[in-house]
Amino acid sequence: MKRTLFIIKLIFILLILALAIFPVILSSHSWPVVSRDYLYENALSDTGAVNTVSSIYLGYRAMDTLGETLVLLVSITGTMGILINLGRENEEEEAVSFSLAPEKRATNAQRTHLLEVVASKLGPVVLLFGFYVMLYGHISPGGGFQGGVIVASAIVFLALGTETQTKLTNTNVLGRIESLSFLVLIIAATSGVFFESGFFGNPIKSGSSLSANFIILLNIIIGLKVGTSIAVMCIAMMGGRRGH
Amino acid sequence: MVIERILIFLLALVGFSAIVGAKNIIKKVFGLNILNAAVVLLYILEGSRIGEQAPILGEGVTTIVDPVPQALMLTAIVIGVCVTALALALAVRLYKATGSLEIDTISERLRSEH
Amino acid sequence: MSIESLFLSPVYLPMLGAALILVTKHFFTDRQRRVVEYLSALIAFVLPLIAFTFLIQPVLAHHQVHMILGTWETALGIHYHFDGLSFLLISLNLLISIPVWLYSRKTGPHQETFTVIFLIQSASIAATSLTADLFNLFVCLEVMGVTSYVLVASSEKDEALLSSFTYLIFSATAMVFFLIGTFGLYRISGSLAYDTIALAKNSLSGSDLLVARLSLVLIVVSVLLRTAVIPLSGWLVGAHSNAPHAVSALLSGVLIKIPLFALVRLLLLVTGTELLGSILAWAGGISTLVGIIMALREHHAKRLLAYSSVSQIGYVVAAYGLALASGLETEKGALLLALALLYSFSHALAKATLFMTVGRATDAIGTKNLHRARGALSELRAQGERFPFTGIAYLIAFLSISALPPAIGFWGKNTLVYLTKGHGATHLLSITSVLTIVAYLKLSRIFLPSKTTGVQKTVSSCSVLTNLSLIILTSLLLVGGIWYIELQTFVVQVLAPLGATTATLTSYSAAQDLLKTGITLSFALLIFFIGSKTRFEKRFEVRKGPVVSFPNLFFGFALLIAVMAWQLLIRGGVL
Repeated sequence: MKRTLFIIKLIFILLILALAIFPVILSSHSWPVVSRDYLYENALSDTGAVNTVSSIYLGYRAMDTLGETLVLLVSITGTMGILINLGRENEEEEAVSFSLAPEKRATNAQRTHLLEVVASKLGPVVLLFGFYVMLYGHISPGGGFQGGVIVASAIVFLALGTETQTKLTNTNVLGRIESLSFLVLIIAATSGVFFESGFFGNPIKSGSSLSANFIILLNIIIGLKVGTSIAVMCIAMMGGRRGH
Repeated sequence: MVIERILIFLLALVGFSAIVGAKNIIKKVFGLNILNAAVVLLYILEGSRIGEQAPILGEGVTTIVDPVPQALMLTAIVIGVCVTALALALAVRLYKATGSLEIDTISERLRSEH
Repeated sequence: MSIESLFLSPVYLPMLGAALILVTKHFFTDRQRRVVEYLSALIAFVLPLIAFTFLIQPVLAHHQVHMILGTWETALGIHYHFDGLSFLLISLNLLISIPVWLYSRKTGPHQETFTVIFLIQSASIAATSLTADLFNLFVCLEVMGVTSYVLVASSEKDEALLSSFTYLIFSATAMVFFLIGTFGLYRISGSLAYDTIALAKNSLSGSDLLVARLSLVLIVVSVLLRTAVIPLSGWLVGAHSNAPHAVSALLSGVLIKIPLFALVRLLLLVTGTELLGSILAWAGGISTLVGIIMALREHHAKRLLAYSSVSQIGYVVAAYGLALASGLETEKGALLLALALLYSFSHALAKATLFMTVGRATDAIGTKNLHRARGALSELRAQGERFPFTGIAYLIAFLSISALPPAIGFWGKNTLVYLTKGHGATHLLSITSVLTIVAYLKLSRIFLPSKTTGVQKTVSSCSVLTNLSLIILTSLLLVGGIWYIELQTFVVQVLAPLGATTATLTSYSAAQDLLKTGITLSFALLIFFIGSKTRFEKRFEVRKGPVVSFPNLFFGFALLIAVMAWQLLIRGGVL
């Protein structure tokens, strides 16, 4: 009986939603060209970025990107909070640090020599590539978020591959970079309010020969913010930092 | 031209039915991701109908696709990933608290604690 | 200072405060971080409040600002719109957030990052009230959502995790349907700004109109989910009752109302919303009744409050729906919208106070079960509360939410019910008025003296800050009640640019309703005594907490979509 009711409900829900979204998805209205044409004409002169996607998300619609950064910040803080509470139960157990010498590691640390060798060699290359994607976001596919994620994976590689803890895999240092870049991002966003270019306007438009200067700046800040915060989260998940 | 969109529509339904019907909470999170991916595909596919080239201006670039849906989906993807991370963290905690990933069992065990 | 920098201050100042806290957390000691938290709260809440006092004059003069963030000269940019509506919504948020934050210092979640998340939530609320861009609305709602999932989960209890998870999956799925709706509207209009969309939509016909209406339905239902009107309210009870007290106060007080009013901007512009309004009025009316009956069946103090939120938001939604149904350009519609806003203000104050006082009282007693919890006043005194702030604040909030003079709720509810006369849903509102008093009388029993002296020793929650927060809320409740007529005139005048510019307050005075209130009260007392003396109450109650069932949650979602689509497409004349 319960089972039948469940199936009837499921069919009803699926049917209604399918009927509601089917016409929307299959709409025959031709796709609007007005934004595309405008961007084709003006994006380069407005923002200085060749990549029109990045001229939208860091130029015309930068507020969305700020909101996205806030979602990332909150969800990472929340995830860390939820998972760190978990560690509190078994306080006496030594945290698994991947930077400990092999004999000191807990047995559940899944690390082999193969992993160490590959990860430590791959780490720097990936790090370089991450910065490339981040810095060239205005002229090629890429940008702060994408570059940041690659940087984060490079940091995870380095953390997995090196015996000694370097500055780059130290969560305190990473946390400092993260918080500072967030502060700079907020200041960069709000400074426009006081320089007549408006909220998220370009406060450094004049005074530089580089036309896409603001987009490059935002790409770097966002890349650092995203990269360090995701790296901190991954390292915390691997047990690199003890709970409070 | 329509067949891709019908596939996307079916993909969305697969994701949605997993969210509604699956008992396992990890499968629900998967379903959410599938639904999200279907919408991302829909935007990108339909936005690319009006051009042939990537929206990167340069020599000889004349018919670019609409970059607006791509920029919007960039935001939507990141938000989707963040929500997934949070949902999975909650799932881990729920598993530790109740020893189960089935939604009914979790609900039952949490209720009987009181 | 330009006017932009003033009205955008509730968006950027909290973010700045959050960034400052994060920096001090990583660079300085714990002690310094705590100092910076107070400083940031000052920056985030008090400075915008001061900025807003400068904006009263322009808003009263019907000054509106329609701007594109970042001075772009294209419709591609994000449109923000500042007018009376956003002024009132942001003021509501600031006025509730300050006491809630003060209260959280002693009792609230003690995580290091609580204030950071709280400030980001405040910024997202302000942005939601200002935005006039569909995709930006999506982003703002997501920020708001993610912060509330994290805040709910910050409770120590395991049930809170499940509630947070349910809320997350349900609203994240709805937001995907919001995106599908955005897709439909972008396709027909080529823009994301409300005014361009409305312009394009109003000139459509045939299958394009069908797509546009369906998209609109998807968007409206997804946003209404956050408002927790009845077929969509399944997530609310768990989330609001299991969260820490301060978080419950904010979620129930502010967060469920902002998305509803943010939607006005879009609905005002498109045509054919009269049918939508009528459905909303019915949904609101049903919410009030079902919500209060569920509350009466509850023996858990915070769940009773949460169900009562569903019931109270019903009043707001009913008035809001009727305002849309009669059209904001008519005098009645304009007044109803103003009353919906005023009522949500009065409910926010009362419900925040109730969650705080009841939370404090039940913590002192050590149980939330209404059959066992007694003697809250003596327990609180035993824990060092010399003057019964909690009891007095509870009493005034009780008066306000039960619509008894002299608090703000008395005027709010009576004027609202008076204006909704003529629609079927009004009868539901009248029945609910009686039952609301019964439900809160039931809750009030925790303050009755107990026969046994408690041995429960809990951490004292009394502090200067907690008392201060209660004093602020209580005085706002009383001030609002005493100067209600002036307040109403102010709100009506501020909202005038939205619709009828000539809307003046009808000469209705709620004082005439004193007799009716007396009858309502005596009915309520009668029901309460019959209920508590006989075994009826026990038999009526549910034993266990609500079961989480995703099929049920989505059944409500699908049902509302079906009803709305049916009305708009069949009666709206597309099919």
